[in-house]
Amino acid sequence: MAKQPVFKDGQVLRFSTAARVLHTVHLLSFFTLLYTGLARLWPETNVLLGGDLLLGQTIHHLAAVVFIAVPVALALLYPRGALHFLKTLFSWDKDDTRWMIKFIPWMIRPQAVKLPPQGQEKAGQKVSAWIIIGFCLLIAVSGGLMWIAQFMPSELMKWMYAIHDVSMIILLFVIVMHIYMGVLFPATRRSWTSMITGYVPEEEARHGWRKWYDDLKKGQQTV
Amino acid sequence: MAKAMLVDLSKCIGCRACQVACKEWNQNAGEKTENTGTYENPPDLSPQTWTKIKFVEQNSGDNVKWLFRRMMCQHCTDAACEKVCPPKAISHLETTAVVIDQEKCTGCKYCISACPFNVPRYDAADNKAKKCTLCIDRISNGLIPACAKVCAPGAVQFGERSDMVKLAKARMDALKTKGVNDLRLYGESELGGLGVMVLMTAAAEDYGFPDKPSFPVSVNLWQDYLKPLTIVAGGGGILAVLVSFIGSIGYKHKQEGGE
Ligand code: HEM
Ligand code: HEM
Repeated sequence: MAKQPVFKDGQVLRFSTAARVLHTVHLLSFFTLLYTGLARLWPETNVLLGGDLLLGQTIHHLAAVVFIAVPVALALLYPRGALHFLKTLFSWDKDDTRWMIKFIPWMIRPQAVKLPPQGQEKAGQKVSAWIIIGFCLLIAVSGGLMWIAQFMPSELMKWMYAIHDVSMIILLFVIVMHIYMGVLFPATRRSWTSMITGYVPEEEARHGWRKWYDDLKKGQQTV
Repeated sequence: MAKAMLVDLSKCIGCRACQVACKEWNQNAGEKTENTGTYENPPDLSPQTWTKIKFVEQNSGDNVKWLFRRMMCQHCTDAACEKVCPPKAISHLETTAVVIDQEKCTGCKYCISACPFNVPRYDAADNKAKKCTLCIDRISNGLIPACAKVCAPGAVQFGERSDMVKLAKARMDALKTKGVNDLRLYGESELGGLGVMVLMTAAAEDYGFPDKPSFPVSVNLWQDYLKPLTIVAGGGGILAVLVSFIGSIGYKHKQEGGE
């Protein structure tokens, strides 16, 4: 994909096109899976599909293929970007620990809490990304096995349904918070625009991801 | 009144007439199988085979003894398959038979995984789960199931549940006086009472039945706890959002000249 400038009109590049495409496709398939899944747990909520459970199940399967295939394909196409993302996620320093301790107070009263400087991903973003990635893997594996349950030992399968549902429950909670942080929480509510344009205002970047911003200023390419 | 089937394995001679009668009445096609060196055939239940006799070989010294097990749906009163079925295609009919409504089934395979006896089979041809219906189309018309009708040694009986229990108890007393031990009427109370009770002359596990068949723990966890927990998680998320949102009233972002 064409290289985009890191600095442009007082803005900083935060997400490559590939990252934004991945995120958008993933969130669309995620909500499709969530709805068609919940409409199995509570068949009476299957109103959007006119109560057609078989249709819901078929859509769930198709969306699952997208849900798995898109990240895998993009990781294969852009191994360096994927590796960089993983490296960022698994870096951790003292500031991150300090940030995490202040996370809940900050969520409740952002005006009263001063947060330590952060790298490309804030500590909270890293933790949420671990949880999201971990349970997405678990839900994909259990779901894949549920799809071919007739060939699997039923002793194993008896637990896969519980695992699929536990993962769904945890993801549900984390994603509710995730969306809140992206579009509503006063301290971070503008960040959703960066998932569309790829850019955040420089002011915003320095404020939220100080160490990342300083690195970028020093000329380190990190997207 | 509740009906029940009694399968008296002490009388079963392994002739497999029940298998044939089942296929014939339910119009299930025969399957091509390979000789694997046993009289047992076909090798397993399938979408087309709703019952079969399993031949269990037991070695005692130089002798080989056969135990015959009738594999079929046990028609549990507390049926795990019924509980997990999202389209509610599985239900109890005639107070005994557990039947899969083929119109409603969406082929999700939940029942296949939930069954404590590993009975329902998935049919890829029409994306449905299949199993024994206890010949619902016969018993609702006052007939007895096809397998009970053909069983020459009288090992398969069908009637009022209380009569079946009485019959089994009498048979067990008779066998005891003949010196047969290890007798058990399987399914009298298991899983709320099985619609198909089995009189055994060996330990349940020797036949390949679970000794204490039980409602799967994970199914209860999933259906009774995880379902409500989904609402708690969603509601909890929204509550946390509200607390945070209200708490941050008056927050001035740095960009807007705050901090
Ligand atoms: C990633 C790949 C996934 C695969 C392969 C998958 C597969 C499945 C399968 C096979 C079923 C059984 C019903 C059916 O056949 O439709 C199912 C049910 C379900 N799935 Fe998924 N799924 C995936 C992801 C998700 C996600 C991301 C969610 C929601 C966050 C989700 C939520 C559910 C729910 C709520 C059910 C109903 C469970 C129940 O009836 O108790 N699934 N899934
Ligand atoms: C409407 C729904 C969603 C919105 C508005 C949204 C918004 C965002 C935004 C703005 C970011 C960038 C944060 C930053 O500046 O670093 C982000 C990152 C991310 N999103 Fe989403 N997102 C949504 C749904 C999802 C879903 C459904 C998933 C997973 C299945 C997901 C997974 C991620 C991950 C893993 C990251 C990177 C790590 C992080 O920053 O937490 N998002 N999202």
